[in-house]
Amino acid sequence: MQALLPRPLPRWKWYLGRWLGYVTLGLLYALLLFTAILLIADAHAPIPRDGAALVKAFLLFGSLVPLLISLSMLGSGLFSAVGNGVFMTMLYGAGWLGGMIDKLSGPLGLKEEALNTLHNLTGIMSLLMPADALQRKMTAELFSLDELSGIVSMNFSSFPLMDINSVPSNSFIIYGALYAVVVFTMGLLRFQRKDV
Amino acid sequence: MNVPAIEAQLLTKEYNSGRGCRDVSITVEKGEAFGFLGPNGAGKSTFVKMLAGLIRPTSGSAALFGHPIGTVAAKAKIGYLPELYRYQEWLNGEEVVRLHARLCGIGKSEADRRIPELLKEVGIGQRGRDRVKHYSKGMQQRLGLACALVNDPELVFLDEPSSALDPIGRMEVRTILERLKQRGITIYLNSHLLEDVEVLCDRMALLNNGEILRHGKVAEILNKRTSWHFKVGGYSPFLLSWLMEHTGLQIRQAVEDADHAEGGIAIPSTVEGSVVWLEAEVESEEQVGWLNALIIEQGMTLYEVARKKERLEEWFLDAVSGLSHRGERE
Repeated sequence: MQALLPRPLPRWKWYLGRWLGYVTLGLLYALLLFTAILLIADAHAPIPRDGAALVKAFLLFGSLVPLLISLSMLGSGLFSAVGNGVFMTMLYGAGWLGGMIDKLSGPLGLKEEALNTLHNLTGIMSLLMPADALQRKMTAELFSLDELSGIVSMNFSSFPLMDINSVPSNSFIIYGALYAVVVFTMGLLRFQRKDV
Repeated sequence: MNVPAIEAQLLTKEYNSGRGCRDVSITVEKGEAFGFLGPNGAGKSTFVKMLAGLIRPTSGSAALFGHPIGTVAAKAKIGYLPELYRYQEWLNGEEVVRLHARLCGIGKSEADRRIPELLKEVGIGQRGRDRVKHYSKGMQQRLGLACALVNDPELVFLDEPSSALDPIGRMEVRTILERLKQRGITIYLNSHLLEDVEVLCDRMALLNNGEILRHGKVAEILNKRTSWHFKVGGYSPFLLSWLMEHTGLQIRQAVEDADHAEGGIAIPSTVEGSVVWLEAEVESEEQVGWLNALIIEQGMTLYEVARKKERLEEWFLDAVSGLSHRGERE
């Protein structure tokens, strides 16, 4: 980096170039992973073959890549390499934990007040790291749960991980996109002033 | 208008640790070779990184050929060899240089012509087709030099360019730098190798604890404290005390020094008979003539008189001795 940065390019181009490179690689990997998971799942049980649903599901699955890379690159401007790794792991873990608590809180039979507090906490966790919520949305789109809910009974109380009620709204998807844009911009501004 | 290659005004970088550099002002003219010296941790690399646009100054300003540091216009004119180089190990030497050429906007045909020439010039040659992970430190340093020169810069910043090289490699790098200087390229050299600075640089500055301690022309610095050697026959210890008392000058018998060849005079390890070398610190050449006359007047034989040229290493040690250094010794 020290040898390359003094080259005659503005720093924003460096940042954007690295971001695009990481995102391209990440998306290719995500496509490979997505396809592999579907193929393996298909070998054991039928999976939806609706092209539109598959594309929407992959776009949601892939949307994690720019989100996580933007966050990680912002973290690299603020922390050391190890510190950034810890930061990202904790943040991703918090998002995942928030999602799990959200899914499992229903069958616990908690009082409404306690449930509200729990939902507030998991909401904050999802806002800080929307990855798990986007994954839930992806699952819902892949299985077209929204459309199926009018046709078949969607009572998942015995299997809360598939609970349609915990699927985030479209507004949350817009929030996720804005979140990624804001984090990317913050990372870019930070890199403009960063000492290398 | 004659714009200096480097013009820094009170350039300061402060870190919480107290390191960095403070109020450094230097001007380096086009075509000049400038040496930046200082003990470890003095702030030399911090300063050069500010000039190369890698770190932002806390205060002060600087320009390269009239363009503020860190701007694309300023960067377009420089080549930079960092001290802590780390090149892409999965690429070969040619590919690394080609990457730098592309980043500098050099076209493919120009790069195809220039890269083999550069690799040959820095001593990599055909090994440019080997992967960087198989390069020694010295080879990587040569590769770094090729990268720094790929855009035919008007100014090259070299941060310890010979630190990983063997004596032959150092000599080769020095020859390359001398060629660059002859071509009118401005050279900014951060180096612990005082000999390189002594041989190559026109002017230099000494940094200690982030502040410039001394600066000036290398030739003037090396000759500032003029000592002269006198080869005297028929010497007796009485002469030394008599001369010191009579002239008020600092005179001593020169001690054995195998490396002592300054000014073309080698001090012999043993005194033959009553022939000795005396060393006197004088303020003017008139005092040398006076000493000559006094020695002869005392009935002794004066075989040889020569000016002692002070070496940069002695000057450096003299300049920083007794001062605190915040470098590795802390």
